[in-house]
Amino acid sequence: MSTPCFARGILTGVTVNMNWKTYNGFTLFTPLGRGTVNLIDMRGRIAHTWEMLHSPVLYEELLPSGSLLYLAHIDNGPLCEFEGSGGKLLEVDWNGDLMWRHEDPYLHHAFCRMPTGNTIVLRWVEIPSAIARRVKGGVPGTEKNGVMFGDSLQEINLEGQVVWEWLSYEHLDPQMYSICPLCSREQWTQANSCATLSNGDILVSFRRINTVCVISRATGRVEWRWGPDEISHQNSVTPLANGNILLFDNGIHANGDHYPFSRVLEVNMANKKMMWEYRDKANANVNFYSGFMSSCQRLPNGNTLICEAKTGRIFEVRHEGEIVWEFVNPSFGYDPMYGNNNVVSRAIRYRADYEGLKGQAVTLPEFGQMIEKTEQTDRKTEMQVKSRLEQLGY
Amino acid sequence: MSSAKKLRKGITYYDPSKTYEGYTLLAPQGGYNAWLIDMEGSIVFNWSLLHQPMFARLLPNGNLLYLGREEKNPQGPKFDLYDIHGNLMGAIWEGGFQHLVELDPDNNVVWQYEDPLISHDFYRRENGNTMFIKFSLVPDHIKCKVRGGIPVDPKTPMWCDALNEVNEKGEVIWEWLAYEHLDPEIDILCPLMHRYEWTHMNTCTVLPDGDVLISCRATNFICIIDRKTGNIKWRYGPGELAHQHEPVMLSSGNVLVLDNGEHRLFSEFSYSRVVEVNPKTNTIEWEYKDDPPFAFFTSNQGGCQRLSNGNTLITDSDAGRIFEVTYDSEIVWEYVSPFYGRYVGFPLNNFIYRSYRYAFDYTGLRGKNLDRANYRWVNLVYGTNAFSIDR
Repeated sequence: MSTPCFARGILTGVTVNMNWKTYNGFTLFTPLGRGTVNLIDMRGRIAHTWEMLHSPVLYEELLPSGSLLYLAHIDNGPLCEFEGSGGKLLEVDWNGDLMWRHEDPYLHHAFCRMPTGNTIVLRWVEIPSAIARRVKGGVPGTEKNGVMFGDSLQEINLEGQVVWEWLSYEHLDPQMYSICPLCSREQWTQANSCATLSNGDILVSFRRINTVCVISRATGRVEWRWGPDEISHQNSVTPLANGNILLFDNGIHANGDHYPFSRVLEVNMANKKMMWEYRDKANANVNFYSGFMSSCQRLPNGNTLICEAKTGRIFEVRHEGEIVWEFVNPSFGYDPMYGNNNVVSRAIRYRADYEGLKGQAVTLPEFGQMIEKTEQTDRKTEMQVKSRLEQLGY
Repeated sequence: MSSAKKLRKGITYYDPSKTYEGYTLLAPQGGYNAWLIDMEGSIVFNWSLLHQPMFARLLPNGNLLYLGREEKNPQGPKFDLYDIHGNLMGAIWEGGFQHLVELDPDNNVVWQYEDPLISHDFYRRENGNTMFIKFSLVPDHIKCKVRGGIPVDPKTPMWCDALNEVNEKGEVIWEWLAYEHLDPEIDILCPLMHRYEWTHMNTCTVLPDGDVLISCRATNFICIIDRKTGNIKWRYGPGELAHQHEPVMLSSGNVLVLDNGEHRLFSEFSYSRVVEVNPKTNTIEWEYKDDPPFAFFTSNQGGCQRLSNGNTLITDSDAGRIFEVTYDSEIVWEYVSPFYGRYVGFPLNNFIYRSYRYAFDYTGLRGKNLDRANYRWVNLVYGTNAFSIDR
């Protein structure tokens, strides 16, 4: 049994709240390893929870209809040992009652509900061996029992029928999209986010090939691509209203010999220039670095909500990089791979007048349980240090 | 900066019943001092240095030997730094640690050796000789055989390492050139590092029989060099270690090493660990990892020391943190450096490359006045209560 690191992780709960500079609303997140979806207010008080029974893959969305769309991990899937494996896409109402479900053991990482009511899902497919052999990169000989998996996109309607499908290996060039040299050849691309653009095309992030693509809905062709040698193992690629894209550049397995760090980037799609960047200026490696998961969301007032998965830290920055709100997940859980952790894989902020929250009874106890827990932990640690110092004669 | 990450400074945990008691030596890289601190984090002794240190060792004769950085005209491998728009911002040199300086307890220089290509590590032998690492260029006919790495301009030189042993007069009495003994087919450069350097050696410890235990970071291996022939007697690492630091030979014959974990194969997240390897079987017999593993990650520097009671002192350089763990991986002492400064191209930081614990009866401590009251005013700011300082 190991003890936690004392110097870090002492502060949890809301640690910064400059409410005159923030984009006020509710923040939705699910700590890793359990299926408790939390909706918290700006003071860290729990406004609502959903118990989903399955642990999350990455995230959930509160739909304008007021229901929650949640991708759940299942333990007995054929590829359940792959990072980000899903299995069940569940839609529940405010009270947690199941409204819609889509089961597919090959689902992974991300989904996107379209305005039509259909849903785009990501799923793994086996790559034909003739193509897999030609894929460059990765550690040689590390395919899963000789098989390489790739990504596909499916559009599912409310009846669960597949109305559109895209297979990555039909459109990606195995010579051009090479796997990161430190990754295994079990997977070629490992997509981890998808979003629809206004023209119906789909923006997809492929982690292992460090590439963001726009896929034409009509032809399936890759209309736009960017990333290699610029970003590494990115997550959470989202289109912005101004036509740029926002993404979380995790920074693990980045080229070159420097201290790894994460950053959030806004990129102009037309000229592929970086228009905005957030990274920790003081000590980028120690203060802001999560090699896995994580998310970013541009808020309507220009602020950006960032989730640093590794430390369970959700924070809101202004354009200049000032942190105006910060919350650290105080609830620790166990995961076989991540240990005793407080990882939060993604977070989304909703304004209080968001359509999906209308008419819902959002209960806010005067002193929410999260805050109390935090203060107790803090006080206990401080008492321990103080009593130790007194014993030593200080 | 984030409020949640305003780390506490100074001693953050101390369980006297389980620690290996003594004094800890640290030389913060951003400053010009070497400090001896007691178990409660109070300063009890200090040397002021002529240069920014890489790190320092307390010798059995009571003197301090440190490796210092030359700020003017650095030499050795050079790396270009680019900003996010791809504009060249400048360059940093890996080299530039050209001063080996021995200071007596009164801070007088008693021995000095200079070479513009010294790097990373030195070791004072019992006979008074000093072993150190220096950069050397890879000849072109070998350079073209070296595998791995990210291609760079073919005209850019590729560096590897050499070992030099000098006597007290400063004469080089033994030399070893890495490119003469490494095998380009086996010693493959990490695929994510540029081909500026082949080996990037960071440890040279002389074993009692004269053999040398070294660590090559860019090629992810540690090995023992036969002193007579220069051949590699034992080699371990690729596939297991990732950009490791400071292998230490233990009395049991095992080797303890800090496995930093940057560019680790198949890694979904970055984490460091300390492992004890049995060289006979090449198996790992002990491992320290934090829980969650990513709570301890030092990417480019760090060190470890096995203490006589079985505990291990670990330097988490990136966080400026030194901590002691028991054999059961329990943290029993933790210290976060309150000493901030600027170091090479980095912003304000509290990096410590390596630190060492010396027991109360260590001969190098004899005769020293180790009263914390001598540093009363410094201790008010940097001593035990330093954790109240927020940066």
